[in-house]
Amino acid sequence: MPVEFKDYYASLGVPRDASAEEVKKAFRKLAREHHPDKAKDKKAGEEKFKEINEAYEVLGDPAKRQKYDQLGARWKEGAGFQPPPGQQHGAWTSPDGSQHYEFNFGGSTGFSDFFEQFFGRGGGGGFSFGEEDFGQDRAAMRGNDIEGDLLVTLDEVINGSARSISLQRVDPRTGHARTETIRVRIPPGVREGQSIRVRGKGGEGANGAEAGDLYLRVRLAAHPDFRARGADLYYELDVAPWEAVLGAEVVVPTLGGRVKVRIPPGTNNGQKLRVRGQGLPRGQGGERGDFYVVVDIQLPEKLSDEERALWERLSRTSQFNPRKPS
Amino acid sequence: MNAVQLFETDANAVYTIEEAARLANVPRHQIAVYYKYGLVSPAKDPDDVGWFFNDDAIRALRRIEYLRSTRGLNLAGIKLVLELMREVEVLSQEVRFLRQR
Repeated sequence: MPVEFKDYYASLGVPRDASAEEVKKAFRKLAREHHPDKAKDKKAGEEKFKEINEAYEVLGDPAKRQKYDQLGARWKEGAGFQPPPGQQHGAWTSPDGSQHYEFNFGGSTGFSDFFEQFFGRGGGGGFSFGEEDFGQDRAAMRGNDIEGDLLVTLDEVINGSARSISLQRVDPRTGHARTETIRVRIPPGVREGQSIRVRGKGGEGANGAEAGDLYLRVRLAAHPDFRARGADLYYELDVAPWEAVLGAEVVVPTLGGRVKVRIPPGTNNGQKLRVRGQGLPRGQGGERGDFYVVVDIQLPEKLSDEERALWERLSRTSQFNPRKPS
Repeated sequence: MNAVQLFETDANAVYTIEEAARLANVPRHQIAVYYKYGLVSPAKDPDDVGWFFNDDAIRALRRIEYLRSTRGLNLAGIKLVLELMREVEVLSQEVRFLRQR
């Protein structure tokens, strides 16, 4: 099953020797530009946003990036692209053992075939349940479950959404491929790593037994501004040294709009300021996680003569000694 | 092309032990054994409302069955594997979170 090779470096517009920091910067810039909430053409924006996210998922992770670089080199050699041996079973793995069917996936799970093949649950890395055929000697055997990743944006976590997912099943006995499209409603409040079970959409059962289920594992899309941890959201706020020392009021973006945050005088670098109830929904009960503003003190890189004079005056006047033994 | 089927997934769905046994293809008494061993936990307090399992538990049951029947692990081995997997999952989520900074 040849899959189309994805050039993740091109997706992010970075050279192959880009540093981790450059990759992150490129991701943030593009993600801001193409974020479904901001892009003018919502549909195209979403596609592009997912592409960038997928590229970042791989290039932003040193282990995945290394693996990808090795693949890339091999791919360049030959005309076609064949997955390495032992992985030709396709995108979906069955978590409970035997695998009589081959599955390809399509539609908008958010990840490309290529990603699923090499970096998804079944793609070698992580724990893969399956690949072991224990025969069909049992009379009626329930169909296998299939697992796959589903890329969900933070906005979808808040509002929920519906996705079309296509499954291609290849029956190994006949070699006949059949594509089936289903629509799955993603409930609001899903969390990273949670499984969404789609009943009866796994492998077919043997001898009249029930079909297996399809498990979609939620992966939260990286957001250019916010990081999610459980139902809580984190936002890095750049702060001037005097704002941290003297205190300030700053308007920060949240997923639902903007909030005014008061930085108390004497706020330290890395300190977290909590805005209650502005995080992601916790389940479907209407309760929401918190929003944390993480203070990141930035130092001015270029100083005017006047600024330098002021800092010098401060250094002469100040009694503060950060290395004073306590 | 036929009309596309729409699936309303319910993240909060719970099943009785009979349903769980059928869905996971594990006998009821076996589920009780797994519960006693701390391999699977009902979504609600069994002493309070009886045994109810959610989708995560169904998935866990199937994994346990797979590890037992196909991989030949005993209960202690399964417990260790599940714990390690859970830990790896938590750690990789934390790494992802930290790396996004």
